[in-house]
Amino acid sequence: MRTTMSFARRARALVTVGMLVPLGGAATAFVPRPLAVPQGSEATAAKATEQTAELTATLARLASEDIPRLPDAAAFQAGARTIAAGDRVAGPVAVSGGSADVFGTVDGDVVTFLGDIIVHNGGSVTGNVIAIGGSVRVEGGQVLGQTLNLSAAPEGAAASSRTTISHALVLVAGWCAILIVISIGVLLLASENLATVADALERHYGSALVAGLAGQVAFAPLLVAVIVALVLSLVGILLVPFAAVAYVIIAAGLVTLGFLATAVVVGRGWRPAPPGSDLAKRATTLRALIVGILVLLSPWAVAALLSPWPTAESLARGAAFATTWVACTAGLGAALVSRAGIRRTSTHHAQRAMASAGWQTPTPISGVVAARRPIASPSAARQ
Amino acid sequence: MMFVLHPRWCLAAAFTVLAAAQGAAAQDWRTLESSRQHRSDAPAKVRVEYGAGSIELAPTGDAVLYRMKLRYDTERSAPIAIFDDVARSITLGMRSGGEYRWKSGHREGSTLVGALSNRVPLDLSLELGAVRADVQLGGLKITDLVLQTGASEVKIDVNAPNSEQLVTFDIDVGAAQVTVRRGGNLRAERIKVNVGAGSLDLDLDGAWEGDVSISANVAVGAFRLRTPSDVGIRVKARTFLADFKHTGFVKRGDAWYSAGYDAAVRRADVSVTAVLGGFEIIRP
Repeated sequence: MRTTMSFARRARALVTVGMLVPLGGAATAFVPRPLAVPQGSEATAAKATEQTAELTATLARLASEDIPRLPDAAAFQAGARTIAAGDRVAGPVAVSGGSADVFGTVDGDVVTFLGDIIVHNGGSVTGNVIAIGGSVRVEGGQVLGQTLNLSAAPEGAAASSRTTISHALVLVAGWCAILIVISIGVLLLASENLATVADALERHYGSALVAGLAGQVAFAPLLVAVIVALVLSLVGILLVPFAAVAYVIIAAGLVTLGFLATAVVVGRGWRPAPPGSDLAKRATTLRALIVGILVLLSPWAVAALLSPWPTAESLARGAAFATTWVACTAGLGAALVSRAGIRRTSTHHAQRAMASAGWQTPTPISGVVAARRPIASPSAARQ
Repeated sequence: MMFVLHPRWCLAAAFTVLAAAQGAAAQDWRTLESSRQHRSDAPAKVRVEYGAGSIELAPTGDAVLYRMKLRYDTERSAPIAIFDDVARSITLGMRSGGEYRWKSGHREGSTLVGALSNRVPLDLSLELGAVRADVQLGGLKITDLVLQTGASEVKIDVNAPNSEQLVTFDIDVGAAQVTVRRGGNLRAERIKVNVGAGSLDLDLDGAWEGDVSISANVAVGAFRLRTPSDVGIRVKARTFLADFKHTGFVKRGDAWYSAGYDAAVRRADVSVTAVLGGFEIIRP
């Protein structure tokens, strides 16, 4: 019925405008609009249901918080409500999807969901005034309880997820840069040690891992033993702080050296080193180090990228931690086995190469380039 | 076996993850604003409990007993805004909680901006966790003050004299770095200090009269006491592997006395027990 009347009214309007347009000379300005679909009761009911669900969820969330007790969702009345001057209403007055104007007195709380609360001059609320997704304005009235404004919807989630990712990535990049700087220092000052530890790791990975585990287990007892020994010696009591600090520094150094050795091995696996001069070898080792560090830190970068999803992030961080721990443990073991790269053993590769007939064959005095002597490292043996 | 990872694939994967992340909500931020109208001048007990984030507290002369604006992450914390009308006690702040997850180091922190009435005598207790705090107490009426901190960086400034006599100022410093500027304005009768692994820098500058008694236990942290030049100081120090610089002090009996202690109008009696920690008195 309403639709029919609407059609008739619109038809009349069209005829009227059609008659007026030529008179007014504005024919080009008139564009007939499509007829609006009338708002059915189904749409209104769906919206109300959605709002009720939102209200229920919000109240459930707020129930666990240490704030004044809120009424049940069933207590909320849809639409605006006014407490007239002189009226005295028993609370709680709960309103959803509209504002509450208090001119009179409410004995108890006033709560709104997605609406404001205005306590006008002369109005009084003996309990709390709580606006969820709205605001409270006390315009000369009295509120004997607390006034609370609570946000109904999350704020700035996308922005904070972007911030979280960028900060986590910056952290990974920072670690990467620090490790690369340390790598350059190690290459300049202790490249032989690093090469020896890397070779030890490559040759005896299993035993290096076991040695690394043993080293971790023995770390604290050994420290205690050192301190006890110094204390028992009486003379060494004064050395206890220095010994403890030195012990920790040495342990940290061994772990770092071991981690970098693991990075070298990983980097070599990614792109094997071509033969070349000593300088070229150092450049190759540096490249292997950088590649290895990037590979070993990549699980942390993946975890950083997954930081918006807490469960996935936790799993990724677990995997990253496991990777790093294995790298550090195996590297520490290799460092312990090779005594921080001081003990350089001749390998069976090298021994075999040294014993080969090709090496022992006399070289002609002229006309043929001399054969290179095999180097006692697996990487060189591969060449 | 040689792995070949084309850079384009890496870029595509990274962009996919980043693009998908835009729609994901890492933290569920909400805001709570709470206040109470000032209706009585009767003393109130205020407890501020704050787990992590940053906090700013200041006095207010508005017609409110307190005012608080808190921005918090519902995933990790829950707000507290409770007023007990009978006991006239207020508990404000934020409690850390929620599901534990192994998360990355950096997260956007919660923020609390609060104001307390300067018309009502307050028994104030600040319990701070991993917090960066900026607290302005000047001009408030504080009768008792408790500060408990975990791994915090706390700056307290008292830029105007306390209108009430503060009975006890109790400071418990865990692994925090606490600085109290113009603490003399609190007009404390007794100051109790516990320093764990953190540091406390307590400045007694301000408008106070009479005597103040300071007792301090310092574990492995540091306690630095700054006093105006006119204040006479007596120190009883019990130290074990701890450092106490007593330059300018004279030993009488079992205590160290500053010059002019007997004639001083204002005096500080300090009793310190320090183990491995450091204790220092700085006078201009």
